[in-house]
Amino acid sequence: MLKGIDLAVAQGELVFIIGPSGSGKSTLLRCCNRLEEPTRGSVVVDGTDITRPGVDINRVRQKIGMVFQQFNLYPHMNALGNVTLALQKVLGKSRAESAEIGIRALARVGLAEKASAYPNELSGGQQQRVAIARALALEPRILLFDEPTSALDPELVGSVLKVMRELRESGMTMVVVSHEMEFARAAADRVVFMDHGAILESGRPEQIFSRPEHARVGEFVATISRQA
Amino acid sequence: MELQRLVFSFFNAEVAARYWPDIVYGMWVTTYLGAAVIAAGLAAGLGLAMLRSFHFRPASFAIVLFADVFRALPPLVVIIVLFFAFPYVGLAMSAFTATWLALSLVLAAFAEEIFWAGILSVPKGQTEAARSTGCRACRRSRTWSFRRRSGSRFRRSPTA
Repeated sequence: MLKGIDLAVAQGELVFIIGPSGSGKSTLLRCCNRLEEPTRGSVVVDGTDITRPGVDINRVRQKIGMVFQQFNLYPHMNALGNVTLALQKVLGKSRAESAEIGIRALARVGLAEKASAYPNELSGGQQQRVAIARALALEPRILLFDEPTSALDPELVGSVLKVMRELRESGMTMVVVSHEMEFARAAADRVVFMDHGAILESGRPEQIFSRPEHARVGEFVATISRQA
Repeated sequence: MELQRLVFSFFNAEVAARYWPDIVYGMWVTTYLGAAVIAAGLAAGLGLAMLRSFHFRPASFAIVLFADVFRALPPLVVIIVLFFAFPYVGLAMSAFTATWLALSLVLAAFAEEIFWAGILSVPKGQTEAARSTGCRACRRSRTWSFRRRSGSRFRRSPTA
């Protein structure tokens, strides 16, 4: 699926991964916290080779936040419950302390007042922001976004991108798989174009979008921009 | 009409009084056995379902085989085999033990399938979300499938 990927993300960097569907973007992202097991090679996060045998992957995952296309909130828990579950069950924090951290995380995504709302009472954009708060609550060193706005109605995309922009400004290291070209142009430090499981081109957004080296990249960018 | 004979056969106070203690004792044994079967059967079923969630093929195969066989066999056959056949291979057990073991095995087979269905009903995305926050496999299935199936909120239709 993936071949010869060599990608380093610096601290505080926002790396955007684009490419046609089936190009391995999501797979690459999911290899970063081993939701997908790479058959070969290594993934190093914050100095730890997470593919090394014997590594405590659950411990590593606490430091790697992930946001999914379909939000994947727990439908039977309210927003605060979604955010605090891992704090209580994984970190073993008390209910009160978890709630405090949880409310802070929800406030960061602008949803503190929705703490007791259940996922089905929230709009898609709000659900995705709760999912971001759930990842933030564990104070990750890096956040992975797997097409965070693809399942949203167009008018709800903005609220999620706003949160992502604020995270970017606060210095969060982020890897984003997305087709939000405008956002990439404005916020990304680097854009990586993937095709057929390999990185075809990578560079500053203005380079990728305006004068890519490969014709394939230009074609893709043109197609996506036309749709937008 | 032979009312007297009817009363003698079916409403005999003297006989009822004589056997009343046995009946009460029988009720106690049945209740006690029932509770023991429920406890052991549900615990074993849950354990097997959780074992199956590790997707280790030989274990899964054995569990499926066990569940299918014990769901198909009439419980009475299992009791008879345990109580009457096992002594021939040196495994004699009391009537109570044989009944408890047989019914527990049957309940474990049914319960395993129920718990397994519950575990399977949790969408993959939720499991992944849990894993991505560092939740471990066994903890996950415990918190999730139980609360989900008992929670009424889950049943409400989504609005968004």
